[in-house]
Amino acid sequence: MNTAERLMGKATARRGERVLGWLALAALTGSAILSLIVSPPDAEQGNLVRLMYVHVPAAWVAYLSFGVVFVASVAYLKTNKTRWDRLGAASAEIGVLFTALTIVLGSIWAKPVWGTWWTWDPRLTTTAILLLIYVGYLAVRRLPDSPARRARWAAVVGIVGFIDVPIVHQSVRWWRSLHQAPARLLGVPDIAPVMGAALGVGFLAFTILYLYLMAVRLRVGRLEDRVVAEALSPRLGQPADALLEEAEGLAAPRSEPVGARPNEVPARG
Amino acid sequence: MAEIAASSTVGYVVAGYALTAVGLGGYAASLFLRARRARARAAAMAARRDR
Repeated sequence: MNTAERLMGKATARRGERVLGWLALAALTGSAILSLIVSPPDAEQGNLVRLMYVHVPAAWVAYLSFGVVFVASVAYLKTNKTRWDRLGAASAEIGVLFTALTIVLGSIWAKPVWGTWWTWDPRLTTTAILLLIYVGYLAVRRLPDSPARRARWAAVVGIVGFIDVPIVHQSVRWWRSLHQAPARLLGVPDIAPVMGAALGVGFLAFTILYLYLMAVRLRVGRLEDRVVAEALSPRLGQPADALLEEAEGLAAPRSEPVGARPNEVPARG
Repeated sequence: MAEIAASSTVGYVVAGYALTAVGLGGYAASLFLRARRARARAAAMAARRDR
């Protein structure tokens, strides 16, 4: 890839990021209007139903994030390419944020409805375990080890940890749970159309927000990798660009100390 | 489930939306800060190397 192509690629990426940002902002505004103004209070829950318009989409984005971590982890173990590791790290970070948000919003809803902030209900407990698994994934990424080996361990956690996602989703069916079963949105919906619309736009808005945060987080990952490459460049006697390009295609796991090989440079999270 | 009075729950809704805005906005802001710091550090290192 020549310099002009690289600059063009960067410009397109930044423009795409900006477009996603504006789209996310517009969708979130639409979602807030539908959720807070248009949607009527629920017959039983009253205004608390409005919390569901953020709680449920946040849970969906958490599932989506960890699904991406799973795919990226499999791809990293198969190819050893740093870009997959970076994708997994970015998605895990965002997934942890949305899982924490899901738990906090659920807790705020539960206090007036169930009379408690927290209970060891199967759905709540499995979600808390999910959060801990991916906090663990992020912790593995900070271990003082060779970046390639660290990325490999993180990929293993990213694959094994994903097992908890279907368990969280099915927990309300498999065990006796205080938590209600998911509302049906497709086919014959079992909620009022205006509420279904508020929920649907919430899903869309949070999904676009996820894509936007991913674009920004991936850019941060690339910049942080460049810092490492610039630091190692004099020691290895190679230009930072060459180290980065080499690592993009050749991040094979090695047992030598950090920085002993150029292909260990950018596997950071 | 008994009907919940609307007036008693507005605070919970406001708290939920405020926390969502602070959490998501704060994370986005932290990403921009990280990007700016990393870009500045990489530029400073490149400049030192080229001197």
